[in-house]
Amino acid sequence: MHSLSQRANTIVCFGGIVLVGVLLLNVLSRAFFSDHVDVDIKLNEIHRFNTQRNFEYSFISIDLDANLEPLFNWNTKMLFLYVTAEYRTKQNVLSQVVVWDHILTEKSKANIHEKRLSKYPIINQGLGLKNNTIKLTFNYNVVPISGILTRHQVGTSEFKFPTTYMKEAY
Amino acid sequence: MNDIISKINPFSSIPKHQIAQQIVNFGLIVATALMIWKGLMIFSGSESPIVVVLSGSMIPAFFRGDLLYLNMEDGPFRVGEIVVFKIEGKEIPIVHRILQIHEKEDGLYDIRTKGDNNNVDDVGLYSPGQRWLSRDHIIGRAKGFLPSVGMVTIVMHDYPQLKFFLVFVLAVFVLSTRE
Repeated sequence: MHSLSQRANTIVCFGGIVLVGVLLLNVLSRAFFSDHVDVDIKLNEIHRFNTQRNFEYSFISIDLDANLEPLFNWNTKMLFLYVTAEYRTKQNVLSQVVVWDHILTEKSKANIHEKRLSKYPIINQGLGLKNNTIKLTFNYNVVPISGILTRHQVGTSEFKFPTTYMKEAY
Repeated sequence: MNDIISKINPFSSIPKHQIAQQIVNFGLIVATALMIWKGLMIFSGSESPIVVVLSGSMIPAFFRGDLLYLNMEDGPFRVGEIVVFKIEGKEIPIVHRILQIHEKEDGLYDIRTKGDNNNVDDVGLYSPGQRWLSRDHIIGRAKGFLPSVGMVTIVMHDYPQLKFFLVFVLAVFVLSTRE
């Protein structure tokens, strides 16, 4: 009844149950934290817009104002921030391309006011960007220390590509 | 001679019916584990509902040894989602993030991925000549994770002797316990 193995087994099982309980509470505690953030995003400039054979490419930069401090709580390991360009062409009913991303691990750097952010080009499959409306969206992925991954979308703006390609200025 | 054998064999003092019962109990444990796994597969819709992260390509979101829970729900793929995909001819699935997506009218996808900790996208990881992933390559979508729990699996994979030793100890323990 009270052998060492019996006691060890009880301790391990009870410990496991307690850990699961704590994890559940941790996940549920998210409900008590505000996840409202203010984001303002807009196009800064189209730097390049041209075509090669059968596809188009473009480099743009964006202005971003975002206060993400409310997203950091005791279970937040990091935020993955990314800005997507979203559009439709004849070839694809929906295209989404990341134009900028960033990994945020410190709350002290979560108040962002940046101009001319740029990281990835927009490379379209086929043609169809000329005179097309592009929707810019700010998104973030909350990666907790442990638990459920969530993605959120907040803040959008639109811009239009010109009707002609830009001359390359190297 | 028979006395010597009796002393050497630790099981000889246990009645045969109890050994049979222990074997049945062991079988029940194995069957229960399999049922849980298969149930999890059905619930999640993924062929591999739990995977261990093996590389550091998603640091600092995931480290080696983290345990991921996967789901293969219906619904559109969107940029930013973390997916687990398998490349034809390669054994180990890869956990990366969707960087670019093109959706066709018929609902098919061209998907490109990238590890957060990598400098370039994954075209170099795909099969030679392959430039896009499609839905068929994706075996799960990451929904949640536990840190470090998968280290046990990694250690047992790196040191097979440890695995056999643990199985042996477990078997002896189960079979020799009296009830």
